[in-house]
Amino acid sequence: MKSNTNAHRFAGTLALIVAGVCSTGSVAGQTTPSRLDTILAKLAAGTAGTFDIHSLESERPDARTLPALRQAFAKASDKEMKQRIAATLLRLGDSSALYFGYLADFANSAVDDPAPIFLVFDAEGKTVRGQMSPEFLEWCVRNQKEPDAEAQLQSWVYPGDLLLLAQTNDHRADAIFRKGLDSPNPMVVALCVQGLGRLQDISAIPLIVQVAGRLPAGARYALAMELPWFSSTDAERLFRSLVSDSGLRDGLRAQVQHERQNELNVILQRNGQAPRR
Amino acid sequence: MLYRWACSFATAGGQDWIWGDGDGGSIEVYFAPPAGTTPGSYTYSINFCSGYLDWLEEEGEDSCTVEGNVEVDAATPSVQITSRPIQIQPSATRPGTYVASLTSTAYPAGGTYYWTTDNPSMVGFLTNPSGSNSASVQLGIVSTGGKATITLQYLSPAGISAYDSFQFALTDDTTVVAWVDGSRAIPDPSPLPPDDPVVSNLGWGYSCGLTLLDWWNTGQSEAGGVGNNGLSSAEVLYANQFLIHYSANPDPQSQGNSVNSQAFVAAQKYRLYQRFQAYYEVANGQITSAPIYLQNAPPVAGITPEPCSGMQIQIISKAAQRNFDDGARTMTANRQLVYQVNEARLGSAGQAVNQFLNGPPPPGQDYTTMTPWIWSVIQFDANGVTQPWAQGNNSSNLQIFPAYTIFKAGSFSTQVTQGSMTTFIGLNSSSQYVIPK
Repeated sequence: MKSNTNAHRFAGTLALIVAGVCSTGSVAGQTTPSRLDTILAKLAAGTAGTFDIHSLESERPDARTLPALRQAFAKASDKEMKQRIAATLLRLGDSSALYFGYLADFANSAVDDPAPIFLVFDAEGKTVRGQMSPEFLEWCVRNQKEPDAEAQLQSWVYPGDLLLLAQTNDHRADAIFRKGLDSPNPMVVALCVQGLGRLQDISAIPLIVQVAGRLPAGARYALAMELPWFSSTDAERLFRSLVSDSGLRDGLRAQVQHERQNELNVILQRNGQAPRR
Repeated sequence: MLYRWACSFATAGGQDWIWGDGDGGSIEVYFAPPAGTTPGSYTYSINFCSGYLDWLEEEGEDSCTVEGNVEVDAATPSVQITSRPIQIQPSATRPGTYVASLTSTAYPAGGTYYWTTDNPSMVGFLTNPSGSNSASVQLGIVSTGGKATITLQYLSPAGISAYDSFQFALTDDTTVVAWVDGSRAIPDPSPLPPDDPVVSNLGWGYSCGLTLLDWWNTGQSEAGGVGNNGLSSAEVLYANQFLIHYSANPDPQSQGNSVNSQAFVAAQKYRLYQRFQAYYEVANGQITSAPIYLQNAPPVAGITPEPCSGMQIQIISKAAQRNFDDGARTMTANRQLVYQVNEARLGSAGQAVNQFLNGPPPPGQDYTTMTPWIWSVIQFDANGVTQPWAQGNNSSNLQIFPAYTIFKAGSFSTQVTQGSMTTFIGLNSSSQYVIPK
């Protein structure tokens, strides 16, 4: 086998699978390390990946888990890894301001960025591929920003930062999401709608209605995608007004429902109420 | 122990040194008659007390001189091409061609040199290849992806010939561009209902970005995978077609710049790019000298265009992940191939999206193990010939995906069609090039 990090990862994965199947097995008096043992060992060694961090959330509560995650957070230098550890800590019950603050700082940067969106749209509101808007480029010149880097922030980094915060379902994030509704970036707006929906902040729906009114068609659709996170008749009314096709609405609801179910499954597995898959 | 003494040749009247080698009471002496000594019979006299070591005294003898007869033959000539291994450089005056200087030593002096080659379509002589002053020559070489034998005949003053020769290979200046051919993956929504959310979500710039973000995020957990991602197989197929089609690269031949230009390389409108050329000496079907690389810039992994916006920027994915073997450039242990590997795959975000759409369902595997590698491996054999392009397994010099366009000296040579998207997607990270032993 090639000496390759991927090979190592693959081997590690195989070990996990074996551990998952034989978590209570023993050979010649030696207990096979459980999947949790394996992940904790990787955390301690600094070799855990984001998959491992996620996997920890479906493990049964263990006194070693939170300390190991805290230590891994302190050691980690990669932004996304640190974010995911922080989010996992929050979901597992460590509500420390340190971990919330780490996620919130990036999310605040996302909602505070005043740059106009880089995408260009045609008359139907569809993206004109491969072009950046003159307004955006002019803004970059004025503010001494590199357009490619700014576009990457707008389309991937900021939405990612907001998604990771939204998935913590932490009420401290509510103000950030409300502020984000005023962002010139429709992806930021949409993720803030998701965040508010997850928190069931019904009082924010009038604000969302206002925002939807000023957005172009493509951006309105993006916002609508996130409305099923609300369990509210007002949100449903807005959803219907933005997405006229009932089949499409059903499909969008099903996507959110699927995601909710996945998150619920993780909690049920952690609580021993559902078998680990 | 080595000794040296004065030796006089009575008939010729000359004097020269002779060398001896020995110990323990006997010694062998080697005569080197003065240059120009006419063949014939000579008496010699060796003064064993003349050297820097007195061998006779060491041996307890009291006489310094030993005399005898010796037959001097016509001098056996020798010749050697000394500038080995050959050093080839691009010509400063004729772009696309190469030059090399060869030097030699010959014995006895005063003879005539004759340089020849068995491959005049590859090698020419820029200086006079024959004559008494042709101990060295300049070669002009054209890269033909082949080999040539250079032979030097030395004709001694006595009319006897000596020969030396060697064989070298100069490969083609080869460039391989791997690029995604969007025309081979056209998004086809027709099997899906008109209000399908996947088609709709991917169809708008913002919702497309949000959808990929969600797939990226979910793909890092165990929540995705075939049958577990909430998508029908028709939706997955459409999503794959969409992502590949809208992250395609322009055909390298239509990009405006020569593939060997800095502008082409810097634009990164490809998945993989490498250029390679080497020369080396060969004998009996093996490479006998360390390969010298005329083109050896590190292979490059391009930027995967962002499929939602069509921007040629690093948006959805971090930089492409380079394989451990990427950039490997060496010779096989059996000395029959020289190669350079260019191997990479989607960055981590793209890998997570791939796991969400195409990976196994729970218990899922780490998404980093789910995305196959793509590669091109330029291989030159001991004849300097570029190995045929092949796909199909881990030892093939091309992955089955994407399209590959091959250039020789910057001109189009071969196109290898992009293989089946579905087959490629069915592979995982174990699909990576295995370097030949």
